[in-house]
Amino acid sequence: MAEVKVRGLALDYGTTRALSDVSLDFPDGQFFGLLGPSGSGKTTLLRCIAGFIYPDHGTISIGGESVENVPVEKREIGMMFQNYALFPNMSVAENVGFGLKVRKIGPAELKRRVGEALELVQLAAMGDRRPHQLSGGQRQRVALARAIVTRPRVLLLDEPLSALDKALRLEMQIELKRIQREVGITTIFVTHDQEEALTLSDRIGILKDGRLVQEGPPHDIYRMPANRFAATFLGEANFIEGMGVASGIRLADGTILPWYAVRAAPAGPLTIAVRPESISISAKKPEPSGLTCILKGELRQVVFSGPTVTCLVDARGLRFKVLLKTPELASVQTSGEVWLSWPANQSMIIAGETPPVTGS
Amino acid sequence: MKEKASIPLYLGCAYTGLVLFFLYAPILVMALMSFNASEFYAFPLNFTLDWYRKLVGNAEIVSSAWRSVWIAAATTMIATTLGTAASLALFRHDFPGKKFLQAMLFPPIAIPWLIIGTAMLIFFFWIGIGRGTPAVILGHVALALPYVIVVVSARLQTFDIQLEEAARSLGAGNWDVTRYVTLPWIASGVVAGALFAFAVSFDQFVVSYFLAEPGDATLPVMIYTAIRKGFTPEINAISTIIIVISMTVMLAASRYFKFGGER
Amino acid sequence: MVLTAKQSDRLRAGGQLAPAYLWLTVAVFLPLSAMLFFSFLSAAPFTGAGWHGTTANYAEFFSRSIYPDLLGRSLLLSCVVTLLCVLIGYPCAYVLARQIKGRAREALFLLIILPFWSNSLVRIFSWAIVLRGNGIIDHTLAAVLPFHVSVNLMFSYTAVVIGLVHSYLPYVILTSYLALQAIDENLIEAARSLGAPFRTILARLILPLSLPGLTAGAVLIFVPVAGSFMEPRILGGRYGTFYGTLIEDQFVAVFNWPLGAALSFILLAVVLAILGLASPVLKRAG
Repeated sequence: MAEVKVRGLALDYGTTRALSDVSLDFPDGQFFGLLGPSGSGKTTLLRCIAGFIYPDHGTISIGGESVENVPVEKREIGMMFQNYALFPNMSVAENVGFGLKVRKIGPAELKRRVGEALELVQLAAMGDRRPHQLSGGQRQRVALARAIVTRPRVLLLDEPLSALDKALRLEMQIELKRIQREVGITTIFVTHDQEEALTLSDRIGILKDGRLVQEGPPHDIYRMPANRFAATFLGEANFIEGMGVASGIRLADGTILPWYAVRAAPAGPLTIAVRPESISISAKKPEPSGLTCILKGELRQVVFSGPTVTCLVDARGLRFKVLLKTPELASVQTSGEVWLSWPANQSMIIAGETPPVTGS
Repeated sequence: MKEKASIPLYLGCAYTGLVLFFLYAPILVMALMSFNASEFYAFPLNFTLDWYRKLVGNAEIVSSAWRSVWIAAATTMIATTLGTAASLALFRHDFPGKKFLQAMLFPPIAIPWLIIGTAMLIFFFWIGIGRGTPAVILGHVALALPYVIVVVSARLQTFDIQLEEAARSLGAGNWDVTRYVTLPWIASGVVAGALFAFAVSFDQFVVSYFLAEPGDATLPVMIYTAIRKGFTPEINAISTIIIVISMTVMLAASRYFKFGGER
Repeated sequence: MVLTAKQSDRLRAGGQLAPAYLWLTVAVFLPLSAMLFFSFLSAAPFTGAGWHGTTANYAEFFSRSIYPDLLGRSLLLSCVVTLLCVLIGYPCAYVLARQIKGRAREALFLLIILPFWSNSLVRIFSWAIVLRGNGIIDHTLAAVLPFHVSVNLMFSYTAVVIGLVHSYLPYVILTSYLALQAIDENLIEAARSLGAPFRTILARLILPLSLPGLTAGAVLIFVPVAGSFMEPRILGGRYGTFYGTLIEDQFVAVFNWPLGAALSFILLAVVLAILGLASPVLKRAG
C-alpha cells in the first residue's frame, strides 16, 4: 500500500497536448476516481502512472519512491483493463497465479494465495475453467483477483466496468468497493461515467483537455464546483448571470436573489448555478424571505422518468431544469404560470473558468 | 447467394475445372512418366520403379538433395528466428521510420531474382565470401525473411496487445511476456512462416544457381544442369519427388495460415 | 551512462529488429549498391587486371542494337504473358470469389495455389515433357482425330509463353481473389436494387473495386518475366534468347561481370519505372 504523487506531468502526442502540468496526490488506501470526457487525458494519466507511457515532463512517485525510470514490470502495480485481458491460453487459476509465477513464488504458496484470491472474489470453484467459458462479470472478477494477488502497492483500473451491462455493472461496483475496503489498497479508477465515479470514490479528480479541473471528495465537488464544466459534468446545473450587490445578486431586470453565505457575494459580474433537485415548483407565489430565491416562470414541458420527473420552466429568459420526485408532481399544473423557489444557500458561485479549487 | 443474372454457376465451375486441368496436367504427366519404363515417353505405360531406383544410386543427385534439405533447414531456423523477433519489435513499438522498414521488405520479393542473384554474386565475391553453401544460405535467408515477417505480422494483427500490458503489469519481464503470453498465440503464424521459409529455400533456383559452387549444387540447380545436357527419366523421378515434397509442405502450412485471408 | 526506461525500451526494440534488417542490408541492399558501382567499372576488381571507372558498359547497351532489341523482346514477352494470365486468371478468380461458397471454395483455392508453391524449375520441366514431339500431345490427338497430326511445340516462343503462363497464373488468381472477395456484398445488392444489369455491375463496380488486386498480380507477373532466363533456356531452344539469358551469359559464360551488372541495372530501372507507374493503383490495395 502506498500513496502516489504526480507532479507537473506533461505529455504531447504529436501536436496534441495530452497532459498539461497535472499535479495530484492519491492518498494511501483510498479509492480515487479520475473522471472526464474522452480525450481528457485521464487514461493517459493512468498509463503514465502504470509505466506504459513516459511523460515528457514531470515526476511520478509511488510510496515515496520516484518511478520515472522504473519499467512497468518493476513498479509493483496491479491493473485491470476494460476488456479484461485474461490470457486465453491459461486457466483461471493460471491467470491469477501468473504474477506469482514470474516472481518465482513456490508452488505450494502459489496455490494457497491463488485460492485465497479466488475466494475473495467469490470464484473459488472456477479455478480450472478457461476465460472463454466465463461470463463478463466472472471474467472481470478473475482480472481483479489476478491484479491483487501479488499484493501490489497501487491498483489501477482502466474503465473496467464499461463492457458490462447495467445490472452487472452495479453489482460489480459494490464488489469492487467491498474488496478495496477489505484489502485497503490505494486504488485509481478511470471512468467517464459520473455516477460510477460518485458511487465508488473517496476522492474524485476531474480532467478536461489534459488539465486538472477540480479535485476533492465527491460531495465537496458536487456542492462547490470550481467552474461551469465541473458543475455540468458532475450532475446538472441551471446557470443564472447577474451582478453581485450587497444584498445578493441582481438580475438584468432588477430582481434581486438573496445571497446566503459565510462570505459575501463578490461584487461585479457573477454567475451562479442551482442544481435541478434544489428547486421547488409551486402554483402560488411562496412567501418572500431573505433566505429564499424566488422566480416566476412558465411551465413548458414535463418529462417522466419513473421515480423522478423533470420539468422544463422558462423564467427570466432562461430555460430551467427542475427535478421533482414523482409524487410532488400532483401539486403542479401541467402548464401555465408557476413559481420557482430554492433556499439561497443552494446557490453555487461559478466565476467562470477559474483555477481549480481543491477540496477541503 | 447465387446471382441469377450473372454467369451461370455450371459455366463458372467448368471454367475453373479447365484452369485446374491446365495447372495440373503437365505435373501429372510428368509423374506418370516417372513410372514409365520407356525412356522416350512412349506409350503404352509400362509401370516400373526403375528410375527411382537409379536415383538412389546416383550419388550426385542424392548428395545435392541432402544439401538442399539441410540448407533449407538452416534457412528456416535462421529466417524464422530473425523474422519473428523483427515482427514482434514492429508490432510492439511505434517509431519514426517504421513505414520505411516495412517498405524495405518488398525489394526481395518485387525485384527479379535474376538481378538479386547476380548482385549477390558480385558482392559476395568482392567481400571474399565467394560462392558456396554459406553464400547460398546468406541469400536464401534474405529471400525468406520478408515472407516470415509478413506471415507472423499478419498473425500478430489478431493479437490483443493489452495481454502483453497485463502481463507486464503483473511483473513479467520481456522474455517472460513473449514466452508465456505472446508466443502461444502466434505459434501458428510462426509455424506457417517456418514452412514458407522452407519452401522458399528448398524450391529456390535462380539465386542458388548463381551462388552455388559448381560441384556442390543444390538440387534444383543440379536438375537444371542435367536438363541442359539432355532429358533423362531420372529427372522425371526426382522432379516428381520434389513436387510432392513442396506441395506437402505447403499443404501443412495452409493449416496454419489462411491463404485466402481470414474471413 | 544510465539510460532512462524509455531509452532502454528503444534499445531493446532496436536489438530485436537489427539482426533481420542487417541481414537484409548485407544480402540485398549492399549487393544492389555494389552492382551499381560495378556497372561503372571496366573490369572486375578481383580479377587482378587493372580497372577504372567508365560508362562504357552502359554505352555498350546503346551502341549495339542487339541489347535494346532483346530488352524489347523480353518486355514484349512480359506483356504477352501478363495479358494471358490476366485474361485466364481473372475470370477464374471471379468464379471462385463470388460464385463458389464454403468448403468447396477454400479447397479449390488451395488446389490452385499449391503448384505455385512448388519448384518452378520442375514445373517448366514438366511442360518440356508434355510439349515435345512424339509425346503425349501427339498421342492424345491421334486418339481423337481421324488423321495424323504431329505437333511439336517444343523449343519455340509458344512453348516459352505456355511455360511462363503456367508458372505465374496463380499470382494473378491469388491477388484478384483477395480483392474480389473483399468487395462488400451490400454494394452489389444496392446496385441490383437500383436496377443495374449484370454487365453494368461488372464493369462499373466489380472491376474498378478489384483493380488494385488485379494490378498487383499483373505487376508481380510482369516484373519477374522480364528477367526470366530459365524458362526460355529450357523451353525455347534457339528461340529462347531473351534479355535474361543475355545477362545470365555475362555471369556464367562470358564472365563480363561489369557488363552484366550494367545490363541488370538497366532492367532494374525499367522495372522500377513500371512499379512507379502502377503504384497509384497499388496504393489503394493497401
